[in-house]
Amino acid sequence: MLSLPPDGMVSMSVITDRQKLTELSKSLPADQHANVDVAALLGLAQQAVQRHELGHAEQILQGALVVDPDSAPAWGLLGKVEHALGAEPAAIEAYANAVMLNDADLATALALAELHAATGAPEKARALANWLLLACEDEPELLKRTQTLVNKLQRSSIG
Amino acid sequence: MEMPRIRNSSVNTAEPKPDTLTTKTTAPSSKTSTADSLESQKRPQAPDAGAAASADVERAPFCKFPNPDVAVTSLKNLAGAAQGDAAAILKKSADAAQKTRAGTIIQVRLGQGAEPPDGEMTGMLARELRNDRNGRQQVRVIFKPDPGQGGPGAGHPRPIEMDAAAFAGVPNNASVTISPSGDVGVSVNVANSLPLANMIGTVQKDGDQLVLVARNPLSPIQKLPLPGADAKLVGKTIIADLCSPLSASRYGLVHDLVDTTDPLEVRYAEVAIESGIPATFPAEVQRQVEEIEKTAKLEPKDGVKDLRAKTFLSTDNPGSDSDTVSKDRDQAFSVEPRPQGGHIFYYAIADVRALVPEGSPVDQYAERKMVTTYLPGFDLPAMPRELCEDLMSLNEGVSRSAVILQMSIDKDGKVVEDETQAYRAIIQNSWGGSYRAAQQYYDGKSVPGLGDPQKHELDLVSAMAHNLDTQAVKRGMVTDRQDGRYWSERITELLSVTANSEVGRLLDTAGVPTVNRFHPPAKAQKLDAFARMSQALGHAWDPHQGALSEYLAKLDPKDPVSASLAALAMRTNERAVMSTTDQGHTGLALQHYAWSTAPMRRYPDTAVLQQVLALCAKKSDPSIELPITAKRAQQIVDRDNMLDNVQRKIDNEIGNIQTAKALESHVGHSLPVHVYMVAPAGVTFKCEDPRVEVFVPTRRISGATGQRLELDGEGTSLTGGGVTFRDGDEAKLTIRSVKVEAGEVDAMPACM
Repeated sequence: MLSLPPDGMVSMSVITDRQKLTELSKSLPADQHANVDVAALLGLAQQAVQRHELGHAEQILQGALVVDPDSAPAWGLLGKVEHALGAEPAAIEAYANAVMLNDADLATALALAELHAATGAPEKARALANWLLLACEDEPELLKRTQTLVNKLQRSSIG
Repeated sequence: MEMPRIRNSSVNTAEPKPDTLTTKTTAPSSKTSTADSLESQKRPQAPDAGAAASADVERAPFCKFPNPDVAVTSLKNLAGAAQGDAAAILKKSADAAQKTRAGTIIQVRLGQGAEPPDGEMTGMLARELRNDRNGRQQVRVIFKPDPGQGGPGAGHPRPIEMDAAAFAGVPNNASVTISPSGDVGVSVNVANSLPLANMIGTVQKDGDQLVLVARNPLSPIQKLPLPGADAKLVGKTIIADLCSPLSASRYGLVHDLVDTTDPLEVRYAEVAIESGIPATFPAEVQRQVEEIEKTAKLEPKDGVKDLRAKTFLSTDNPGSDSDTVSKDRDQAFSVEPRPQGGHIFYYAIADVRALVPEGSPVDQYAERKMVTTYLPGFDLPAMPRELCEDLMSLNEGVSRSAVILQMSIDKDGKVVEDETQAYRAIIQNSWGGSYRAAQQYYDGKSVPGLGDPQKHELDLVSAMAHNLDTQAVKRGMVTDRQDGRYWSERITELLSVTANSEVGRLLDTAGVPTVNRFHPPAKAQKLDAFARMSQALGHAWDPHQGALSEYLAKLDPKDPVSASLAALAMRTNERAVMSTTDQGHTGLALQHYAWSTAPMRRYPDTAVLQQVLALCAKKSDPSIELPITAKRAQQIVDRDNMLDNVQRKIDNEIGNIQTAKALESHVGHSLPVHVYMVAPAGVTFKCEDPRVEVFVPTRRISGATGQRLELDGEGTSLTGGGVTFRDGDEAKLTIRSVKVEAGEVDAMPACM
């Protein structure tokens, strides 16, 4: 069993290894999983994404989600990684979890809507896009992209 | 409901000032405007939040803290100190408080792996609680960036977690600017946020000194030394003036005792104070008030008319469901028939500048605070109560200085533009009643104290307001008419909207700098989305066949689907902000709009009135200089917009506490509700009795069904795992538990 430092923070060297991380998490009582620093794991996963080490990022994020399955940022980033890896069903699953946990992250909601549209679920895409249009404040770029998606969905439904 | 009382003393026999005001539990956010209530519609808020949407008008005041006499009395009595000593301590407190803003840049090293921002970003600092691995609560400070930063395609910038210890003394919800600093750090500029002025807590003994200990784990300061405080205070809840809040050597000086039997009221005060809203007045402000009290004279003079022969009335209180009457009466009205048809409308507005010169301590304090903060049952005023509830307030039966906006309203409810005047006058309010009392008169019931002249005025103002209302609907003002408010309350709204619009027009057409209330037009994309959603809900709105306001006016007020549609329609609104440019107010369908009718509780109104008076006086004396420059107007706009964000957070938090309180007695029971609005993260249910909105997270529902729920039906339903929640659907909600002070409600649909 791994030992935790007294402040509850996990050092980098420990958390880079998913197996160890999972072991670490299991060694904690269930209600304390979230105390392992998911923010640090997220940062690490982001660095891996920037280095284009998507597989490594995926592993870190899956580990982070073992620690805290309610981490919306971890689900959101995992969605991006899975999408980039071409694993669309896994990307949808991850994005949907992210949006369910935190719908204030409108960029992730739009990514999910776009993916729904691309994978043959136009109703879900349109529902999310309508909701997004009403939720957007001070974000012209997001509004524009959402409207583009809506237009595309309307054209394809007419077609 | 008992009010929290800041008492002169609890150990002597001095009684607090009697305060006869009582109020029902009513959300402070319930008085926000159509455009301003958008945020509160995203999440369940207080009871009545759903009824909030109306026009962009006055925020009616709640009752107040009793007059918090300065600490001299309590220090003298409690500590047994000579009054001179106490006064010296008080002066030291005030002087120190003025010098605490020297250092406002905080350098923070980010945690492992955390990414510093690419560049400068603005946002808010929020404190959150999490448990550590030993089950102890840990405070985290999160920087939440404002949306729309980072350039095209950047999407939502990510929140950044900060070292909580570095932010001791920085208020909750502080508006800050962060920028990268070094390799793994950020510098956080807190200069723009409100400085922390007070702390509420319990006095405890810590070694050989007394300390003030916060009740709230999210308080910006957990423990504050109280040098010189008396041991008799141990165990008491007090309010302290803070000295050097950002420094490690911060300390507090006892201001007064807080005496209440209801811990929730202390909680409400905490929410505001911990966000930097000051609850006490510095000594120099009190000194100016004393000076004003000694020297203020009210007499007609050049340029000041005597309108005391006219019958002025006021109706002003927290809302239709309350019998309380405001003590800070900003407005009174008098209406007379216009010979050419229609009415002549005299709107008397409290004349702040008659007593408080620009740049004086009271004025500076009011500008820093910007608005009166309304909390359930009391308020934290922008000006000392001696002024806003007495010497400046248009109270019943006393002569007061007022700014008169004299407008002619034709029989169609339009302002006759070239007949508008603004001038100073002395008036006497003959009846200050509540909305309920005025409505009783309109409903044909007898109202004590209401004489024939007042009844005649109420008839005239009602007739004029009907014309204004007809005109408002015709021009396309978006109003939620299902909010259950009295006609008497809507009258006040129509009067203020008319006055603000006319003041805005006067200033803007003259091209002079001013502070406008700008409500941007709804974006076409949002209206299209609403049209699709309305169709999905079986009440299609066709934008080509009529304005949204007309569509909303036709909805059945008792139909839950209509309530959801009205709420969705309100979300097409953009948020209203202050602006130096005149761009109109879309929700009110007005080309010009400048707040001017509540100067005692909104600082921008004072500036706008000052400007409009000067503009009107300039017609007869061109040498008169306009007092508000473009730069000054911009300063006021920036500060007001920043503080508006803080106020919204306070309103949200208070609303959540009130909702939890309202549901406390229903724990273990199921309540009839309807689905008010669905979102990816959850369902907002609306309950009529008690009147609350309750948000149930999707993850909770998904946990029960074993499947994730997702939006469907053009965004009007949430479906998954064999259950569907559709806007307007009837449902039952089981209240499992509540944590009142935390504002948390655990509820589940009874079908789960």
